[in-house]
Amino acid sequence: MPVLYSAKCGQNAVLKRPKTGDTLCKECFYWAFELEIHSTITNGNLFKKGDVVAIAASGGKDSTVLAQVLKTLNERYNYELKLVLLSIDEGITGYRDDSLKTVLENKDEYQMPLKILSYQQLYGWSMDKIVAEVGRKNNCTFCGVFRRQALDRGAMLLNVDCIATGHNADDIAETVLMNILRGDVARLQRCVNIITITEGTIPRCKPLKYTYEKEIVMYAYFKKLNYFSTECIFAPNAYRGYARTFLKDLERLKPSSIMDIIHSGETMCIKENVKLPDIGVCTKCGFVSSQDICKACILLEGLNRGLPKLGIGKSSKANKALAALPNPRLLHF
Amino acid sequence: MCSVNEEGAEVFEVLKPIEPLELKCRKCLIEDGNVVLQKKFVYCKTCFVPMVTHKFRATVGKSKLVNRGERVLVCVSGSQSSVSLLHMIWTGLQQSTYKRLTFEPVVLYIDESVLHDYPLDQVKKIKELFEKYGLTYHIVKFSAAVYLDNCLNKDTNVDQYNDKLQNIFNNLSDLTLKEDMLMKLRKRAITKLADLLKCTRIMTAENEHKLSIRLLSNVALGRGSQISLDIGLAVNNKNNNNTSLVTIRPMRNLSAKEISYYALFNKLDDFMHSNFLTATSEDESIQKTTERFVNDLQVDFPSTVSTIFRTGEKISEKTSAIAYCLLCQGIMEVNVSPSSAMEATKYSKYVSLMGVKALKLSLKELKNEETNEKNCNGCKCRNKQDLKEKIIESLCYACTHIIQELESLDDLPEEILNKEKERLQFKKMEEQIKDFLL
Ligand SMILES: [Zn+2]
Ligand SMILES: [Zn+2]
Repeated sequence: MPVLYSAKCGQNAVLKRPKTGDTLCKECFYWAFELEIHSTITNGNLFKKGDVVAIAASGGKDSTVLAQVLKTLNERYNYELKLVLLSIDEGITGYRDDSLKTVLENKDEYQMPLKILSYQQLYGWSMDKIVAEVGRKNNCTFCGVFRRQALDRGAMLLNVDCIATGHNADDIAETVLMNILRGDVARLQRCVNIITITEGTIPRCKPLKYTYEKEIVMYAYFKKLNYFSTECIFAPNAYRGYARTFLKDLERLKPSSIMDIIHSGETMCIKENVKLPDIGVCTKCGFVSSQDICKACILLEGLNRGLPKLGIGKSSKANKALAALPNPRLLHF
Repeated sequence: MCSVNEEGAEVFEVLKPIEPLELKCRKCLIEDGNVVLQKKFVYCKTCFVPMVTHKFRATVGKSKLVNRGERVLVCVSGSQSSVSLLHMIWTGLQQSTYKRLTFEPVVLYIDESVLHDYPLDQVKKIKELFEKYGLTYHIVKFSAAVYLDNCLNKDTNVDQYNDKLQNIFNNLSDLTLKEDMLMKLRKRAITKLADLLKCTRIMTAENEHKLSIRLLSNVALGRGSQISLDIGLAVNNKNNNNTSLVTIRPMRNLSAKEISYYALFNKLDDFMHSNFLTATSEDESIQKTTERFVNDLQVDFPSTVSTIFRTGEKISEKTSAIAYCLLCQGIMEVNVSPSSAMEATKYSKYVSLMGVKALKLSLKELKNEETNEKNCNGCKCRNKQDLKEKIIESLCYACTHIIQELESLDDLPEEILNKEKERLQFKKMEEQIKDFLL
C-alpha cells in the first residue's frame, strides 16, 4: 500500500524523516535536507562571497556529505565559494590510510583541490608511534589535541578564509552533555556556537549543526555516496561512549531531544562571577592557547622527552614539570 | 567523524581501588563506625547526625537567606528527604537561644491522592506527624490548589476539579510530558499557597542527587535556560511583581545516602510519594532514562553527581529576559536569533511539509494555506485551534511541547487562560495606539 505523502508532491513516500517523522519521497527528502543546510548557512552568515573554504575531510560520512552538499548549494545558490578539501593523516594503520582513499575519490568526483597533512610531518609523531609509546589509554587525548592544531596549520598553508567541519547535531548535543558531565562551562558555551572565531586562528563553522546523523546516513545511502564507515580502531573512550548511548536512548524516546539539548545549550548562561580562562597564545609555538604553553606543545614535549604522561591531567602540574626541565627547546614546525 | 575532535583532552576521576577502611569514626576516633561515606570516610552515629545537621544549617545560614520571624513554607512530600527536612527544622527550633532557628515555619502537604494510589490512611498519618511536631501546618488537596483561589477552605467540594486535573493527565499519553506537566503544576500550586499563606520563603527538600538528575533532564527537555530556577539554592520568583518569593533548597548539599542515614538514626518514617514515573520502566521517559544514566555513571565515576551539580551552580538565567512562561513561570525565549535550534526546528517542519514547494512559498504563505485547509466552516474547532496557537506564543520552548499534546485546553487552570486573554487584549490596545507612542 502506498504511504501517504506529507508534502503532497504526488509521489509515494519511501522514507520517514528521523528528525520530524514526516514521510517523504526521495526527491522531496533531498530538497528538505539541502534546504535546511542552506538555511543554516544563510541564517548563520557562515560564508561571504568569494571565500575560500576548507572542508575538513576525513573520508567519513559527515565530511563526505558536507562536501557533496556544499558543492551542490554553492552552484545552486551562487555562494561564489572556492571549496578545497583538507585532510589530516593521523597515521593510524588500517584506519586513516583506508579512509584517505575515500577522500582521494571525493577529490576526483567533486573536482576539489585536496591537501593532506600528516601528524608525522607536523609533529614528527604518527598516532601509531604515539600509541606504541603511551598505550591505548590516553591516545585519544593526543589525537584530539593534535588534530585541532593540524587543521589550523593546514588551513593557513592553504590560505583559506574559513574551515567547515562535519559536526552534526548529534555531535553537538553529545558535546553539550559531555561538558556538563565534566563541569566545563566555558566549553559548554562555546560548543554550541555555529562559528568559532578565536583571534589568531581561522574561523571554523559547522554547516551541519542542525542536521541529524541519521539523516546524513540516509542522504548518503540514497545518493549512493562513497564513504568510509569504520570506527577509529582506537575506539573512543568509555566515558564518551556513555554519553553517546544516553543520547541515542533519548532520541529513541523523543526524536526532538537532539534539538532540545542544542536549544538548552544555546540558551544557558554562565554566571557573571564564574572565572573563564583567558585566551592567549602559546609562548612556544604561537598558537592560540588558554595556558602559557599549549596542550599540543606540552604533549609533544612529553613525547620527545620520554615522559608521555606529561600533560595528561592538570595543566598546571604539567607546566611545573616543564619549567623544571632544563632548557626547554623551542619547537619548530 | 571522531567526536573527540574539537574537545581534545578528557580527564576524569576514575574509581580508585578500595583501600582497607578504618574501623573507628574519623571524628571522635573512639567509637566504632556506623556509616561509610564516599567509600572512605567512616563515622559513628553520634558524630554523623550533627555533621549532617551542620551541613543543613550552613546552607540555610548562608548569606542570611531567611530573616528573623519570616514565614517560611516548608513543603513536605512524604519523601525521606522531606521528613528529614522537617525534623531538622524542628530540631533547630528547639535549640538553645544562640543556635535556634528564628524563622516561622508553615508546613505544607499537598495531597495528590487524586492522581496516585495512596494508602487510605496516608493523610491521617501525615496529620499525626505534623501534630506531633506541633508546628503550624496545612494539608491541601492538589486539585484545589491548582484550580481554586480559596483552596485553604476545606469545605469546598473539589470533585469537579479532580475530574479536570485527571483529564489533563489522561490527555497526555507521553510519560515524559506527563511528568513534566506534574512538576510544573506542583510548582504553581506551591507558589500560590505561599502567597495565600503570606510566606515569603519556600523550602523544598531536594538533595544533591535528585537535583543533578533534574539538571540533566531539564537540558534534555530543552529547559536549559531554566536550570538555575529549578535547582538553585535561592531563587527569587520574579514573575510575582508584588512580593519577593524566594525558593530555598537547604538539603541540596546533602547526598541521598547522608539523608537516609539521618532518617534511620532519628527513626523517621517516610511516606508513599508517587509521580507518574513511579513503577514505570527506565526506557519509557526521558526523566527516568536520565536517572539511570546518572546512576550508572556514578558507579564507575564517583564524582559524577557532584560535577553535574557544580556545573549547575555556574549557570544563571539570562538577565536580559523580559518574558516568563505562562505555564511554568520560567524564562521564555524572546527575539530568538534566526540561527538557532528553535528556528531550525520550525524550518524543518516547513520544508518537509512543503518539499520542493518550499522554494517558492514563504513561511507566511504556508500558514495561510494551512489555515485554509483547517477551516471547516462554522464549527468551533477553528477557534480552539486559534486559542492554542495564541497560548503557545506565551509559552517557553519546553512547555510548548506539553500544550501541543493536549487536545483541549478547557481543563487548564483559569488563571492561565485569563492571563492569556489579558495579554491578547493588551496586544490589541498596543496595536491601536502604536502610532501615537513616542
Ligand atoms: Zn604550543
Ligand atoms: Zn514553560
